[in-house]
Amino acid sequence: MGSACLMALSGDEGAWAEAGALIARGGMVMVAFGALAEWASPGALSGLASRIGLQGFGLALGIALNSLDALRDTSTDTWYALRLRGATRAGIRRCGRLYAVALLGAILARADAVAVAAVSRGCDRIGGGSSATEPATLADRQLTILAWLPAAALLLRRLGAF
Amino acid sequence: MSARHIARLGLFGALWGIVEMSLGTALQAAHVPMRGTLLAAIGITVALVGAAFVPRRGALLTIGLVAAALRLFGLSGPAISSVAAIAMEALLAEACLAAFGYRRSRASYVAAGATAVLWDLFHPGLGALIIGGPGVAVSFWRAAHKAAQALHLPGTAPAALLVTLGLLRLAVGSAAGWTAYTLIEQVRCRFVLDDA
Repeated sequence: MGSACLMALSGDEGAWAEAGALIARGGMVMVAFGALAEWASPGALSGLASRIGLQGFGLALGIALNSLDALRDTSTDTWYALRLRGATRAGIRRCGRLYAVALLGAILARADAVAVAAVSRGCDRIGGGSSATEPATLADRQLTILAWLPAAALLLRRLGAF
Repeated sequence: MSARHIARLGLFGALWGIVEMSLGTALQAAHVPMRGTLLAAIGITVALVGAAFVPRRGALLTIGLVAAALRLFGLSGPAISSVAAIAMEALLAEACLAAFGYRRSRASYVAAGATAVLWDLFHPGLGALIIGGPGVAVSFWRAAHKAAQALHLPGTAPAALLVTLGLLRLAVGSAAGWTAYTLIEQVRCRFVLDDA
C-alpha cells in the first residue's frame, strides 16, 4: 500500500493507473490467501490433496497435524533426559549434536509406530481412491469471485478495455 | 510409497513446521535480524535428514510443503511470505538434489543447503516484484543508491552489501547441509532402521 501511494504521488504519467494495478495485485493475493487460512481447515486441505491424486501428501499432512503435540512433548522430554544425564556439561556443540541425534531417532521410531498403526487400518500402500471433501457453499463461490475480480480487472486493462 | 515413508515425511514436515511456528514467531516478535536465514538453515537441515530416510523423488519437497501447510494454519497467524519461502526453499533444495542425481554425498547436501538458504536473500525482492511489478524493484534499487550517497558511501556499496549478504547466507546454508549429512550418518550408526 505504501509503495502504491509513493507511486501515485510521484506525478509520473499513468502513475495512478500503476498504483491501482499494484493495489489490485496485492488485494487479490491477500484475499485469496486470507480466505484460505481463515475458512479452510487443515483436514479439508488434506482431503483436497487426496482428492486431486496426492494421497501421499494428504496422509502426510494428516499425520503431521495429529503429531504436533506429541512432537513437542518428545522434543521437551529429550532435552530433559539429556540434561539429567549431564549432556549440558559437555559443551554446547556436543550437547546440540546429542540432542539432534536423540530427537531424530525418536521421530524415526515414532514414524515406525505410526506406520504400524496405519497398516493395521488398511493404509499399507497409497494408491487410488479419494477422500470426501465438503461441497462448496454459496459463500465459497462468492469469495472465489471476489478473489478473481482484481485479476479480471487487470486482464481487461492489459487488453486495453479501459 | 509405503506407509512408513509417508509417516516419516509427515513427522519431519511437522518438525520443520514446529520450528517455524515456535522459534519463527519468537524471533519475529524479538525483531532478530536475519531470522529468515536462521529458520531456513534449521528447516532445511530437518528436511535433508528426513529426505535421506525416504528414498523417493520429491521427498524433500513434500516435507517442505507439509511444513508450509502447517505454517499456514499456525497459531501465530498466516504469514504469506513465510509459507512461500518454505515452499521455495524446499523446491530449490529438491532441485539441487535432483541435479546431483539423488546421490547421497556431502557435496550434494552442502549444495542443497546453500541454495535453499540463499533464497532468503531474494525472497523479499521477488515478492515485491510479483506484487508491485518492475517499477517497485527499480524504486528500491534507486532508494538503496540514495541511501549510500547520503551515508557518503561509494556507488557500488549496495551491490557490495548484496554480495556480502549472499556469501553469508551461502556459508550458513553450506553449514546446514554439512550438519545434515553428519547427522544422517550418526543416526544411521545408532539406530537400526528398516527402510523397506
